[in-house]
Amino acid sequence: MQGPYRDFLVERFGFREWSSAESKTVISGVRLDTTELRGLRQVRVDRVSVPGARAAYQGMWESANNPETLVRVDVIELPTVNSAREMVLSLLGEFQAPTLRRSELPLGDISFATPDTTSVIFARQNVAAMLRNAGREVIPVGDFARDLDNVLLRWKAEPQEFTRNP
Amino acid sequence: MDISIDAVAFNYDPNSTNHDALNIRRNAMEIVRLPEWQAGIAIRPEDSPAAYSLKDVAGKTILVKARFRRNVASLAHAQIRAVADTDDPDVPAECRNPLGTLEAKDVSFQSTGFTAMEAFEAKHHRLDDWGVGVRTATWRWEYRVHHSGPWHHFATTRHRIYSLVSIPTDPWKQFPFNAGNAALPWTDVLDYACWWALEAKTPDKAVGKITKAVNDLGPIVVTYDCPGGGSTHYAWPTFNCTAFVDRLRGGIGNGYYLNCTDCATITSTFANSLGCDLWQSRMGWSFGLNPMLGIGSNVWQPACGWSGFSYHEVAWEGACTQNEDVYDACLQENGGLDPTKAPYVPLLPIDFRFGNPGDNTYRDKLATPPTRGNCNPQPGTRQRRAVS
Repeated sequence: MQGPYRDFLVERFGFREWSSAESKTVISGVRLDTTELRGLRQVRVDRVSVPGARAAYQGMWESANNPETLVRVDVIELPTVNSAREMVLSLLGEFQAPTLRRSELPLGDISFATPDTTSVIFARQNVAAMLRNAGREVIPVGDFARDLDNVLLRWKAEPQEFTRNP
Repeated sequence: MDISIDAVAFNYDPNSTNHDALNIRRNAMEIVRLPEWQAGIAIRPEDSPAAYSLKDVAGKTILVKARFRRNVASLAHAQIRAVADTDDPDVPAECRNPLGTLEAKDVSFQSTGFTAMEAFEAKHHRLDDWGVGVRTATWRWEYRVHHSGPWHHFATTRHRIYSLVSIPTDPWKQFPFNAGNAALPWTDVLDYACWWALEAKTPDKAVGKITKAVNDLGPIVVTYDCPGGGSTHYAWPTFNCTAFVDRLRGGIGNGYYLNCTDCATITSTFANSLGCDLWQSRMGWSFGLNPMLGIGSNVWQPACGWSGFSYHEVAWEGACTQNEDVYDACLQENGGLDPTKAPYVPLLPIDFRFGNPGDNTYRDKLATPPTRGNCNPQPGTRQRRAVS
């Protein structure tokens, strides 16, 4: 993303403060089809093309008890930590509301959320992730974001465990 | 029966648009098999789809090709025609055959027992009279051995005919015409676009009807993403048209919520499949909102009760500046004398000039008076997202 809208987002979200991070470890071989989110079951995972990304997936999970509860998960693996931060800025730029704020959640290296945690964006190392409601029954998605973040942390530690075929 | 029909072809010349059909596919994954109608394979009308550009075929004779097989070895020649219900008052107009009757033609059977792919003239097609539509063409195929003899019915075929204003524009492409080109217009999209824009004869009329139809999807099929902060669900980074069509068909798709970027992308992409010529383009940044009705909502308020929008995006004509018209399926503005307060008069922005502050056009009705200066056209964001 370039141009005046990026400049606007840089100011709004204080991007210069979190645009880069010292890290040599990168997560590799991210996939969503083996990811479990508490109390939800996977409906669909699609690999998608995102410019600049090494891999990207969009998935839908639904509540086992209420099909009106749907959670959409986007995971984007970037080449570097800094490019994941830039991706977070791009994702923030797809929200029309001025309500997203830097989050205090123990989530990723940097995170943003809506006031009721109905949408969450975070970066862990070189991976950017976004969780949102997609169903009529709206729920907080912070816990699911932590589940995904834990998967990424284990991925970072033991990438071979997660790159095998399911 | 002495004769059987073997195949019917509508798009037999991929480089032509004024006497045969356009290049289309079904969706991101499936192509349209050619010839479109094949004996034993095409049963339902949708098994044999064809699309025509009204602008290109207006006043011209359309040619439909067909091949036949004789079932009697002694039959060397025959005269064949296909009769349509085009003028049958007992059939609703939107259900009649827009291509009309195919004129009688003499055909010869070769030693193989088949004819060549014979061209039949649709001299009196009604495509340009009836405008945009998705209709079923039913033909009763008849033959006779002698020109003065009685006609014998030997087959009935049904086809799905899409009538477009003109040749689809970007992101849709006519070439290359091969299975790898997912940007060939999709019948999955035309099914909706042609129905939404039924009977339109101009691009402005077609996109106006589509804007209304998309807005009318709320709150049953989709609604504005108030819970999630108004984020893009279908149109980032490209237009996940497959998911949106799934949603239209009652599936999960990408879920219940959408935002202005999604609405702008859906409106322009579906309209452009009919030959309209719209962009997705943003305005901004950070401005307050007058009371409005967001898609799916019946409460007059700034979107979701927020203080404003960081940005907004619409389907936009031409250079996407204050001088061009916009189509906004995402919200209804207050068309009353003062857009900042009651009385509220719902106004869906259709072919509405963006304008300058004080013009009382789209911009003034959207943004609060003190922030209208922040609600500027951003033509640098103008794009047409690819479909996937």
